[in-house]
Amino acid sequence: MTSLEVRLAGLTLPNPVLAASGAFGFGREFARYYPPSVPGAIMVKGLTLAPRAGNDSPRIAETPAGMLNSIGLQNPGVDAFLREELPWLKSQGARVIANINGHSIAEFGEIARRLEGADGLSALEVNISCPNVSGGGMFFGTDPRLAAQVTEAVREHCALPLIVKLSPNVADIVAIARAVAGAGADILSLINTVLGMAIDIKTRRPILARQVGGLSGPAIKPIALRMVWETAQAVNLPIIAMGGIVSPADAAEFFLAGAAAVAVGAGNFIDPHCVPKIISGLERWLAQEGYSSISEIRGLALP
Amino acid sequence: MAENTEGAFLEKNQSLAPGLYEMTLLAPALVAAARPGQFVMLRLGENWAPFLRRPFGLAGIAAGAGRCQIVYRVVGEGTAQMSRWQAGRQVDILGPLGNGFTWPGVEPGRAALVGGGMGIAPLLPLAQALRQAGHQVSAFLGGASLDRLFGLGQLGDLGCRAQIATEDGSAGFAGLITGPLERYLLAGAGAGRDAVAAPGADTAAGTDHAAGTDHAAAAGPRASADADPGGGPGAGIGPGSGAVDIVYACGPMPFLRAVTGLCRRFRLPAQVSLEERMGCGLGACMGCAVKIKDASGTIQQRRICYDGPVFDGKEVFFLDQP
Repeated sequence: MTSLEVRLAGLTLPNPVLAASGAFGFGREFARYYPPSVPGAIMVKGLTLAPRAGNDSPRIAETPAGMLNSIGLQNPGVDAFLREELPWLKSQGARVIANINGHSIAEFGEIARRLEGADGLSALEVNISCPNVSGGGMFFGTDPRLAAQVTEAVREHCALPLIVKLSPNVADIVAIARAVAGAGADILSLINTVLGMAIDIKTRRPILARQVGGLSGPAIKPIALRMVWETAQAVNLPIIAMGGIVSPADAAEFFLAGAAAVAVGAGNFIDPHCVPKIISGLERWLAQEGYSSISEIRGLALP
Repeated sequence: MAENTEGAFLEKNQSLAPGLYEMTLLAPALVAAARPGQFVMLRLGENWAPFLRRPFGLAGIAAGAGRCQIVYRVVGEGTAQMSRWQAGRQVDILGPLGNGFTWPGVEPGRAALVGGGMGIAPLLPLAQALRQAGHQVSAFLGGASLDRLFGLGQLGDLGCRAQIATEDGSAGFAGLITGPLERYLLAGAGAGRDAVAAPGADTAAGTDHAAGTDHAAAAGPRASADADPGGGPGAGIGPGSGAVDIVYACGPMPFLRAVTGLCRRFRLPAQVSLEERMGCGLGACMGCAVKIKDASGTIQQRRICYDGPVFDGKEVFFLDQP
């Protein structure tokens, strides 16, 4: 009998296929396609202390096998999330991971404090890798010392499993991973989007209003896979892998590279049923190959 | 559940004019759930080329037959691929999506449907639904040239009076369609609202205006979207219009700005369907956000795909609007 259940540092999930932050809202938009309890967990849209309107349009640009976005963390703020979104998600039986974003180390700590003890929350994901905001965002995720300080500030208010989401826009992702592991992270998630741009040759101008944005989709899968593979060898923390996963085979590659779970981002945009299709496809594939659990294939491609 | 993601059968894919195509799809579950103003997302290629689905407003909804139409113009590689699709093909379609237009169910009223370019598409099933509900429909269609316009025959068959405008003067009014619309509203205002709106007057289905296009205005000056002072000081107090009870519009933003400006001036309710670069069509990617001013005057980002595409004309906030 094949079981898809996974355990990541105190976080037990019925299956290892999560919905990635920023690609699934707060779960409501997908509830007409399948119940919010279907994904292993829902990593909600990035939360900030105050509500944010996000960036000007155009905010997205299509690219080969992917897309650029510069949404700019449009969200209702952490208090509105606690009031209006979390109770609904809990009532639907979803496992909820709050993705948090601060302008300063103190602000990261304050958001974590407000989420402390919230009913229905399974974990925090600290986003030190958003490429689409000025002040904070990716700034914290590209310096090991700052990344560690943010992790410590959140850890102080976080009894739940603490996930830190890493940026691929660094020379050495392992150095950042080690720094946050040393500062108290329980789980790593990688990768956030890859900084990129697109230019309209008719207008001679960048397509995105904010000029540059984060690339996601199958185009970045090889980058994500390499970074997961490197990090899994260097750091002894469970990894939630994301970056271009749109099929069960994509997910399997990441488990073989050492991931403990995967998350689907842009795949949700092109097929609202992407997550349940990957869950059922993985289950079939494992059974077909004679495995009874994800842990049996985890890291088989590592040296 | 309403959404059909199982695929549709492509019955017909025909050219209406150079670069302009109409696709007829058999998709009974989708069509049964569809309302005018809603849209669908089509997957165009395999192996993520192109990566994102493409949104198309439903240009025809035949619930009994399970058929729907979309009209598209070839503007890039994706729509070029679509134009080569042969009948008999399975199409990966998602929908119906978005909120759609609404209309009063009891009192027969007079609606003006104002379409700019591809924005004509969602107005066609709306015209049909309005006529079926006993409403009188006047259509105002504008485009760059005559071969960018479509749906005139259908509107005629439905008994809708249609006026057209082309920017190159190739047919109808030479200029923007807001010119003929403004004149129509002014004429109605002159007649006096109460007199024209007398019970039973001019509203019975099948007995109203002749079908076809109105070329009488062809010699008029080129109208400018900026000619209407809209909500400017003093200009916002309009006379009201006795010719129309509600305006429905779809088209590019500058076009909608001009149309909603006229509606403010004539104090007419308007429902506008917005077009914007769209990522998922599901409300998830937040790519199609637009600024909306709610009743309290607060400006908020709303998603065209999920909160719209149809919005109250008063709520749409245009950046250059006073």
